[in-house]
Amino acid sequence: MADPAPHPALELDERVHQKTRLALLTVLDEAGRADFPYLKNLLGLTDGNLGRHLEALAAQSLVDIQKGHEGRRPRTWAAITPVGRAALAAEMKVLADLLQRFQSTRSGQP
Amino acid sequence: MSLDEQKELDQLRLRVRASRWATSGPLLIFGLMTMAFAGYLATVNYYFVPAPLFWPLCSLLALLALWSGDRIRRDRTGVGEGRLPYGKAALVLLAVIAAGNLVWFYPLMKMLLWPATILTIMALGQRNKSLALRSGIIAGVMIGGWFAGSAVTADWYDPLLMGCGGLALTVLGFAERQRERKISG
Repeated sequence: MADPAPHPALELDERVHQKTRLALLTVLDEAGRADFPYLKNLLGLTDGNLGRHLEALAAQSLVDIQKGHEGRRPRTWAAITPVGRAALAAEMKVLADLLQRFQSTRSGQP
Repeated sequence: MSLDEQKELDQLRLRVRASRWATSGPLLIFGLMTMAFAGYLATVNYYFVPAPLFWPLCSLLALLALWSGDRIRRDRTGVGEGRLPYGKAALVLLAVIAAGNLVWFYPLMKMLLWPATILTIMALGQRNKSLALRSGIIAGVMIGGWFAGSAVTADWYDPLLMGCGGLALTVLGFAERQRERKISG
């Protein structure tokens, strides 16, 4: 007997799946890049919280953090990388599959 | 992930898009630029570039205006330029114009490079369905009008057609800006 296909939940990417990281990657996928204050205000995060999540994503090469100055003001931008876009797309596909599976189970479809 | 969470992520995308003026900005700038070029054609009735390049030049100037405006917006809001930056779109259009000049595919070029068509192609590149739908409908109507008017030899027809297209883009741009204001709060 052939092995059953693995459950889609097993394909979730732990680097991306956490709610705040998923939201960060979604925003950066749409914006290309965004600065710290914008991300903080949009997602309602503290400086420390945002920094921690971005560092975790940057450690996996999912985002690129660029620190610089504009005039005398320091400004930090976070940009999504091609790896980050691919990871987000894969995660959304798995989540959509899971949702579809859940709904079909509830409605009694095979 | 529940349906609610999926909706939250979609809403997040819409808010980022609204912060970028991603739909209203191109509609307004292309609309105003098209009206300016149509107004010039109606009053001066002289092409300052070879005729087939007139409307492609309008599209190129609109993209360059968007690019420079977007730089200011980016610095103010802290939101990047998205998937297909206007500067890159302008470079692609410039390459198409240069290639078109070399092989001189005059009739095709005149039709393909109308501003609303350029806007639609760019919107597809940016995966902005809202902008693609609006500009696509206007592009279709304008191209239809161009075919319908091919028998009309009057000087006023082209400026009138393009002016109406530009006005439609501008009106849609203002309406879209109101919607974006509500989304971004």
